[in-house]
Amino acid sequence: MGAMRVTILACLLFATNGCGVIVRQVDSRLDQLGTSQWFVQGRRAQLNDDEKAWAETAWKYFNFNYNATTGLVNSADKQQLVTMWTVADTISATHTAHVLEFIDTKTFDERISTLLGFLNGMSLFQDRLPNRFYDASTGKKVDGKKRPNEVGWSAVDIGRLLVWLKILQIEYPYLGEYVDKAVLRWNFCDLIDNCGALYGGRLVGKDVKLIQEGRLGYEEYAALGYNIWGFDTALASTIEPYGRIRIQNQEVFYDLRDPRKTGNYAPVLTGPYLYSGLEFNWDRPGDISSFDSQHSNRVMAKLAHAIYRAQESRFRNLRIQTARTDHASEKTPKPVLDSIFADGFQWNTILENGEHKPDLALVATKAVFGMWALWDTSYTQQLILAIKELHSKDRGWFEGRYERSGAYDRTITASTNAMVLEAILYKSRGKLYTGPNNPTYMEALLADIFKQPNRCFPPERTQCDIN
Amino acid sequence: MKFARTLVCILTLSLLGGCGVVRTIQTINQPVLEPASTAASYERLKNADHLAVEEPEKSSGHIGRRGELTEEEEQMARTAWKYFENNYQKETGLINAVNNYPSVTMWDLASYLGALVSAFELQIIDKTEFDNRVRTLWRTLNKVELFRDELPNKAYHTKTGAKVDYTNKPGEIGFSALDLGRFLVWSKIIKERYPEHSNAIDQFVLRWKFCNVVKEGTLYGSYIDKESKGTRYVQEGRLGYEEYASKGFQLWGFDTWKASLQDPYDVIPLYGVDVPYDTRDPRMLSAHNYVVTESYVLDGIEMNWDLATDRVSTNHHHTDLWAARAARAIYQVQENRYKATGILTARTEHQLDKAPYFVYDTIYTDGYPWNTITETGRYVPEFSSIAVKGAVGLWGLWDTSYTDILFRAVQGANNPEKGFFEGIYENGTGMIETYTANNNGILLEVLLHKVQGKLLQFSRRVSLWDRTVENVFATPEISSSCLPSSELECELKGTCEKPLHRRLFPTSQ
Repeated sequence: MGAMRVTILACLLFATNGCGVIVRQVDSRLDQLGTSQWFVQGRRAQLNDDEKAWAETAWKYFNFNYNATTGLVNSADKQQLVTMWTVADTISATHTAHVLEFIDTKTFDERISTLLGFLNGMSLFQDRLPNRFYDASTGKKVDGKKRPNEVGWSAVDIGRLLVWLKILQIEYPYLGEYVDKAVLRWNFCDLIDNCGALYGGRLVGKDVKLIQEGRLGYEEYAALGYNIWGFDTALASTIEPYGRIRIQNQEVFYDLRDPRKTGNYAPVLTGPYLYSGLEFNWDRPGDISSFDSQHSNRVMAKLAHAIYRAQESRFRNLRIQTARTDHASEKTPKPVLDSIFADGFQWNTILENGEHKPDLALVATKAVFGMWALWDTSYTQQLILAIKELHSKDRGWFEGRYERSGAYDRTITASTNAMVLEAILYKSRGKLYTGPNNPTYMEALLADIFKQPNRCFPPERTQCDIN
Repeated sequence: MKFARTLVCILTLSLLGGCGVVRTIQTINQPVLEPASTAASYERLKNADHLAVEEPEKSSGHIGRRGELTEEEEQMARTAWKYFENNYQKETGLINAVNNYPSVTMWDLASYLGALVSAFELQIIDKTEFDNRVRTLWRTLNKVELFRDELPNKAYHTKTGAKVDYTNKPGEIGFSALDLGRFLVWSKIIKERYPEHSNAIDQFVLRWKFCNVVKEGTLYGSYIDKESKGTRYVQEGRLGYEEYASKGFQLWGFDTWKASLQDPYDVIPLYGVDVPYDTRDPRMLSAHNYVVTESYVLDGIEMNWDLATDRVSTNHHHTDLWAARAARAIYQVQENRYKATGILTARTEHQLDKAPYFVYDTIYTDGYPWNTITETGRYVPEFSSIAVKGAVGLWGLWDTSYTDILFRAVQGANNPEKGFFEGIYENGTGMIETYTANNNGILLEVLLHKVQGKLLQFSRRVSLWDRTVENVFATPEISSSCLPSSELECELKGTCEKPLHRRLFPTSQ
């Protein structure tokens, strides 16, 4: 498809390369052509003033919650606790703010370089991998209650960080070397096996307990991060094992690993499909040339569309505005799994322990912006109307609007505000990952078998034998 | 989608012209009203699934396994009847619901009535013993204390006939509309078959006050509020049981139009079969929406999946179309699971021989297919079983090679001195070594059905109940019991017409 696009453009240009005026006209027509539904997925155009203002509001969050000593940004308003997911959000937001010119290059460079300094200096969990939590002000390893401690790691959080470190490396080649050096500190042996199954680690007593991490959606998204760093991710990237259920006459796919046996409720959420849409356009990672309207990972695109359409149909049929994903809540410190399907039920809103919390269902700001960017429909336009006032002028966007009452959930998080920025950047630019990149420091280092760190980097692995 | 496709067809066809063609479309769009053929469901199965599916019966209906009992089957009937010999309480005429445990519910009593009729009709007992048992039982029933002078309590002590609580100590709990519904089915069957006993039976039912159990066409059970000690009434019954119990009330003239509606329900596709389930949300309400075999089998055996008002149709016709189709789906999905997994499947609720003593062993419930849960909803897959009553019920209603295997699996699951075991664990750890009135009663019913077909046979004789209901000058006590209004009365009040919105099953996509 990529070749075809180039050919069409070339033909048009050759046919009309007369004087400047004509070329300019053709240029502008090509612009229109370039943003037509033939070639793009979703809502693609120049940003208008509203959209710029929305993005600027989101950036306010990252400004207000910035910790200048570490370069880290709090995961939620005034809560100086971060995960690697938050670090990825921070890179994504800072990059977007730079592209949209909310900050100048000097500020960008200062912030990102401080952050890279942190990543290259932070104390790792058992000297192996980023700990699950860090204190944003001191940069020290902590547990979930911010006590100095090490608790383990999250393979999904690290996966998202790998995505954004790679994008950072591609967008700013002069920083690539330091990105590689941060990643080269890690030990991948227990994190991902040769066939791509992802494992989280949890410290139980003195032992590290390895638990397969990720369920359909976030598992496949996290796998992308490992994949673009050269790992074989066959097991995490496949949608197996999956089940199918009809919701609002859409066939929605869900993870078949049984929550009654595993204790993991494997909810169907919009979030992971939004990230893989905005960042990868549901393409295979190696695909850098196809139209946005083509998704070379057709399966993921199909799953994403079904999840979108189920929510749109719920509105069309039941008149309930629906844009659901996992989110934080002002009513519980635990994450709310506000799902399309979970634990046997449609539109199930639960906590991680399965507790049913229908009152916490939101029209989630995060989901609305992602859906708005990826699907240019009257429904997403309406969703935007439902949430566009949900922000504090100087602190960023709120988490969402309660489905039950219409009231705001005034929680403010990095995750939601980063999604707003990503969605708006996507609108102006298309997919955010544009790799693969030029030869890197890491490749040069790993090519030398005497310098290999012996921590299960891709060249140090044996091939997966299940394929 | 379907609409769009039809539109395209119409456009295409009208281009082709010809009124005949248009007529065809109209016929297609008519709801298919052929009795008992699950044609649509089969079409979908054939197209969608690799599983071999037997052709639906070519005739307009089917009657299951019919004929004289073989010697083996006669022996089974005698073994099952052993349970009712061992657990009979001579003084009261009551029967223990579980072996040697002197407590009984109205549901289990109804299963006993099924056993009693079958034992007599299959000539295991003679008329003297039959009459004796019937008279002793109703002598007790016409004396038992009702729950708060309203309706039979959920449980009675079988030795004393006293109302009891859940621990079988004297007390009261409330009443169950589903249990009463099943009891009404069997009271009706006995009084129609043996009019000589009709008086005693009617007298008992005339003691009941129906004001709170059937309201606005909905069935309500009751329980005692822990704090106020007042009676609380709650809607009772989920898809399957609700419709079955409703028929019991309908047979006595009550209008249960809302309980008899299948809605609210949806279907879940399992092994290529659309299985209907109740969509009332078990997360919000304390009732599970379990899909099991039992209620559909009982409806088939006792009432031939006919409407309660149907007194004439043959066994070949099922006038309650929806019930017949749903039952067929319940059967087919279990056969298909066997074909897909090799696990013999006949799922229903049943007793256990150890804690938690009772499980809903389902085809689907609370969001999961083949879910086995306790009353509190705890997942206990280790107790999944081939239930004897489920297996025998399927065998009696579907004459297929699959039910042949089911039958062979359970026919030896008995102790000749005590009756049939409750079931066989799916995980291969042996039998559920407990005996119940319900299990043995249903087994006897099924065997009688093989010989006689639909068990409910109408005599067209007058009865005390009918005459009392018709009497608009009834005594004050009777008129305060909320008995069904006579046709004359509803004509006068203009309440005879009820909203009728039955959906055909399965739902079309």
